[in-house]
Amino acid sequence: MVKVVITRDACQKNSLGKNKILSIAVKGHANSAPYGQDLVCAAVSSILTGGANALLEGYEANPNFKVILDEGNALIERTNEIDVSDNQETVLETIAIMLKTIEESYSKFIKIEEKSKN
Amino acid sequence: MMFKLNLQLFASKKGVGSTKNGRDSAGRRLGAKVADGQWCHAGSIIYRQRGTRIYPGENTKIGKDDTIFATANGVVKYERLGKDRKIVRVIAD
Repeated sequence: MVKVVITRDACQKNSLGKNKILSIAVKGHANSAPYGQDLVCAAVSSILTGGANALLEGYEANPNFKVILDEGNALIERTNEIDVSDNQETVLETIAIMLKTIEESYSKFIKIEEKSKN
Repeated sequence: MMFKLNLQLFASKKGVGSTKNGRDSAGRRLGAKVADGQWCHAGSIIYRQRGTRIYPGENTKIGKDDTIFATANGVVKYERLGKDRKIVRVIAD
């Protein structure tokens, strides 16, 4: 099962009116099918890879985020508080919503937990 | 793009190796061929076995592969012999 932990700031809101996402950590294996045919894994992989690219597009010099995309382990973590643009906040929320959309239909293979941090 | 897409990033481990097992011999259809109380011809096989799970009794013999067969026409009887043994005999007509 893929475990997703979304950590949000307890107080600060983003431009969408939600608590700012500080990090999205994804660990584990979906195991919904043998290697090469695992649809849930493919969905999660593409959301995270595409999301990470969208997040950093145009911010290569000053990314504001640390991104790790390894086998069975991914992390998108905010490293800079000030310069994060509304676009990047929107991309972060989009990633979170897309993962939740998968969880709705494939809760057996992916589980999302939200935490808040001061 | 900064990150190349690997669609199996969160898939289970890569294809596991093959196993050296997976072979088995065909069943030998052992066991009783004539039931208790059933009539049988002389020479007919009563019980197929490996080792002497059942011992030969009256009017029966045991082959070299421990098969028990009747040596007279009659009714087959399975009985206990002592605490933990079983025998089969034929009550001749």
